[in-house]
Amino acid sequence: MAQSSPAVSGSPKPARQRRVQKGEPFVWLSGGAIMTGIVLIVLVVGLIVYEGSRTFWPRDLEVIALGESRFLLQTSDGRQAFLDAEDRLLLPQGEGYTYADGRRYALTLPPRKAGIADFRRAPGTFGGLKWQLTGAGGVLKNPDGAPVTPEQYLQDAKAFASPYRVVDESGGFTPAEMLLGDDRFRDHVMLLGAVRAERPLDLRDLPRKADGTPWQAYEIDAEPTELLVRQGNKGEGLQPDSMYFRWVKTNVPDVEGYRRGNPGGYEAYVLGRTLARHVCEIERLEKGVLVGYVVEVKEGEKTLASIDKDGLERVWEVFLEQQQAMHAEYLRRVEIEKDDIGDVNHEIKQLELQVARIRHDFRKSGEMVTAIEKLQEAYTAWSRLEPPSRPDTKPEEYARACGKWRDQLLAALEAWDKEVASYKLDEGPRAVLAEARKAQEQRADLQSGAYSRLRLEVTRLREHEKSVTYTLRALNGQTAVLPVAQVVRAILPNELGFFGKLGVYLDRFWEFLWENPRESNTEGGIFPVIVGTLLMTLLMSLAVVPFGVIAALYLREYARQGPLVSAVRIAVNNLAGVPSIVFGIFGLGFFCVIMGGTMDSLFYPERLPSPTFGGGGLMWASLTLALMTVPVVIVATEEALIAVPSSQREASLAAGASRFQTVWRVILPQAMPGILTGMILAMARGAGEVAPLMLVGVVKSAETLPVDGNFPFIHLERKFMHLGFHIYDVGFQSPDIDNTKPLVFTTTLVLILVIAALNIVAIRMRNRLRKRLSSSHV
Amino acid sequence: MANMTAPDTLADGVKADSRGAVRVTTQDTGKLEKPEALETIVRIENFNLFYGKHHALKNINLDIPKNRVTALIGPSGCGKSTLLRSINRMNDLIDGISYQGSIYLGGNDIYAPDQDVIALRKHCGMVFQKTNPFPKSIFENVIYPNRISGERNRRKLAEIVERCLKRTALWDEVSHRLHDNATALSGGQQQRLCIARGIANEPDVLLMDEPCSALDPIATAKIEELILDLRENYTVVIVTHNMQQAARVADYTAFMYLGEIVEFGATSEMFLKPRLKQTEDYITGRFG
Ligand SMILES: Nc1ncnc2c1ncn2[C@@H]1O[C@H](COP(=O)(O)OP(=O)(O)OP(=O)(O)O)[C@@H](O)[C@H]1O
Ligand SMILES: [Mg+2]
Repeated sequence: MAQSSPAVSGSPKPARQRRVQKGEPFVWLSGGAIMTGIVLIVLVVGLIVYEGSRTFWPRDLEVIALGESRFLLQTSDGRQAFLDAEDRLLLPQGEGYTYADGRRYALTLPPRKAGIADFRRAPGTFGGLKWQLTGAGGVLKNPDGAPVTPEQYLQDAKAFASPYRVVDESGGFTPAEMLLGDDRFRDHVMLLGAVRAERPLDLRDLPRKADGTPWQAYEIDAEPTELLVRQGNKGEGLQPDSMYFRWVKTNVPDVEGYRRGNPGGYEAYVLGRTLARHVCEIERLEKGVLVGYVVEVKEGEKTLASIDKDGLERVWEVFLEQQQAMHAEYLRRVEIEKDDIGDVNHEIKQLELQVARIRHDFRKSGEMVTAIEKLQEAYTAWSRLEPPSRPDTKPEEYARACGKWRDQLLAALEAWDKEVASYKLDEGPRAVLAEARKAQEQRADLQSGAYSRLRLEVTRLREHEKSVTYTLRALNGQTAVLPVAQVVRAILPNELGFFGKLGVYLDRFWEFLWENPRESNTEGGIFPVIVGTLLMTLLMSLAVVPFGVIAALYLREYARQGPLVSAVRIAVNNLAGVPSIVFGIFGLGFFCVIMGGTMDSLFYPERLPSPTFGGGGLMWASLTLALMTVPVVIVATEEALIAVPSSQREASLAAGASRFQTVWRVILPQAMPGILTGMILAMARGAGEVAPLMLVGVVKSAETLPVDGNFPFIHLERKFMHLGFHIYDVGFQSPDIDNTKPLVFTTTLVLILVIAALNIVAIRMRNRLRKRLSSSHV
Repeated sequence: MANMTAPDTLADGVKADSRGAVRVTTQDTGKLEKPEALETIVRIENFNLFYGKHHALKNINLDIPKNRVTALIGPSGCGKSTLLRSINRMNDLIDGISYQGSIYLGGNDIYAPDQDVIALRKHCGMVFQKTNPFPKSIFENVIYPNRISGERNRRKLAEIVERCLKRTALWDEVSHRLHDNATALSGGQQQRLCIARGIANEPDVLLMDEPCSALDPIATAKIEELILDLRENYTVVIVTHNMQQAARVADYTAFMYLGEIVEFGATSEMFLKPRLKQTEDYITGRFG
């Protein structure tokens, strides 16, 4: 730059040079850089929005026939039949396999098991031996007990129709091969499930063409892909039980070649797929979704509706009615458990702590300690006498039993009174002991009163929830009887139109935002996670802004500018570059262990050794992040302070204001937008941080929210959940990644939205301030 | 510079109040002449100020008369602003300054070690070259000095606003929008607002550093009118580059050059028959 500034010469310069002087290439360069940045951001956000927003869209349920044979061939002496790459028969012999002519099979590639489909294709291959068919139910037998031969099976399509049944036009069940339109599909294994993902297959990974050259893209019509099918039906003995998700291949160009070249892979090759009528997808509280048909709904022994008598539609209607009623009941029960019992528990805990506190206060007096311990022992012994309750216990009876139980404590306490009377104790300690005794009595009141009553109620409700059941029939005809109350949502995805699907989608999204997680975070919602993130971020902002602003004010307005201040400034800026995990370690060491430990021993000694503030928690996590983000606020605030014109300072000082008054009344208000910018940056950085939080209070799942109705409403010592950590946990710590991957995107989307929402609020605040400050020349 | 001598205005501006020289220091003699009849409000005695090593004010002696307008004129960089800012110790904010000598405000040495600077500044209103209203409402701008002094009584504050805005002839223009942002006012209005702020605290002296240099002639005329008006109640010290302005508004004028007061006297005398050639050259625009 310095060279170009000297005196402008009058002679015209060549165009290129002039352009360089104007800096146009630099404009292009910086424009390009910005464009690249924008494109990358749009790509990332676009991916997250696209993937994250389609997770909950209901997918159609398809019947998919695979290459896998339903029956395998074996000889009458139980030897399995195999085929080599040229489709020649092999039989196991010792360690290896031999051909019919006695030659040994010499390749290392294991041969493929021969199934009924192979037999149908080339019966000649299997000539000369007697074959039996084995499948999921063992050897296939005739009614007379003799094994079915392959020839017999192929001849009688009716008797040996596949067990995979779908609902046909008339509302009855028919074999699924009818729906697929080819009788031969009965040889094959079929799935019922939703295609959750699709990814292209690399042509180079396919077996080569007959002439040994690889397939070319122009030689094939449809792109070969792999589909991820969610079959559901886990844990109810419904086959196949193990494969909740299954990858299957489709559109492979030369199926025959593929079959030979891909011994195992062919089995997961899709031969045919079609939509099925009236199949339902049932989301449960536990163990994921079920797919199949609801064939019966029962209350106790009474059948409310069954498919034979009332038809498909009616059963479904009754099922939905019952589901709504019973699920509402389930929700009520959970509410009692969480809120009512939770509150009583809280009170009981407080009373228990009160006694513990007294023991701690008098820990130097042997008599007192013994007395309190005896009291506690008496209580423990008493609580073991709790009258048993069963679901059919009558509430009044149980209340009476509990009343008697309560009286037993009085007897125990009287014994205790007598014992304590003999202790040498002053008036004061005795009064305290009386207090402790009273606390124990109150505790027993709660335990035998409200607590017992609520627990009995819950037991009864639980029992009632089990009373209404439905029978689910899987594609293969197997059935399971399950409680209706466990059903969160049931839909007929193939029957839904666009708006029907949209409704389900919004409903699922709503649930995702407002419900607790289930099944170790792989199902349900993320409400506590959002709450934890919001609270932590807000507390962090509350902590970081004053801290950063005061530091910046000192550096800019009070400290004499010099090498020392510059050094401090550089140090602060470099603090922003320290890896966040280091802050986490510092937070753990300084906040949790030192400060939290000190607080515990000062304020909560009776709870030790279980930590209160001595472990990670909301407060320490917020402070750790505040520490981490404070450089951002300091830098932004300093910039904002510099931007306040010195004429403003002079005007204020000349009017007789002190430095503090100047800062408070003139400079801070004008620097506020800049300070808020700093806060926004700090928030964005803090809300997305994970590593340090893992050390100072974020957990995989917290049983209680950090806010609730019990004093002091915000529980700073509690552990909490956080979106960033949740993403990590769901994405990388979950055993079932196929199930949770979409949730990772959705959770990320929510995280982005939460940060965006926080930012928008802050930006609006800032803009309002700006407007108030700005000169609006009219 | 245009023609410096503007007899009409000069006559107008001076006639009424020219009661003779107060005290005159000249470069060569340093001889003082006893002021006539007028009370001195600011007395500057042997005042020297250094910006680090730079000797910006050299042995200044000056008595500023009460309830009069005193103008400081001189070429750029001669130390006018520095002198003005010494009177309310605004120079203290600058790192590395040092000074000798003393300045008395109403008989009270403002450079005494135990002097409360903040209290001192409350006695001096200041108006700057660049208008600097706060981005607050007009109302809040005017009463800023009172607010920081802890005045809470809303009625009293409202009275102050009305009085100050009337004094600065701004009342009619802004009385209906006192709670609008002051930055929405025009430049001239803003400067008058700053003057209103400067007098809100009833200061002993009003220090003005080139208050009109950023304004158009009409706004300038208004402010000059205002200054003449303020003279009844306040002592005004004004720095200006505009000779006509000095002639129009000032009762007394001090001519500074290279950190020294070269000549000080009644404006009429100084402009009509300056004692020193240097002064005459400057006034008539022959140098500077
Ligand atoms: N903050 C400062 N630090 C160092 N030197 C300064 C500072 N302010 C002013 N000076 C110097 O002191 C001298 C007097 O400055 P001053 O601002 O008082 O001049 P002035 O008469 O007001 O000029 P102008 O008419 O241009 O405003 C100048 O030489 C200037 O360079
Ligand atoms: Mg100046």
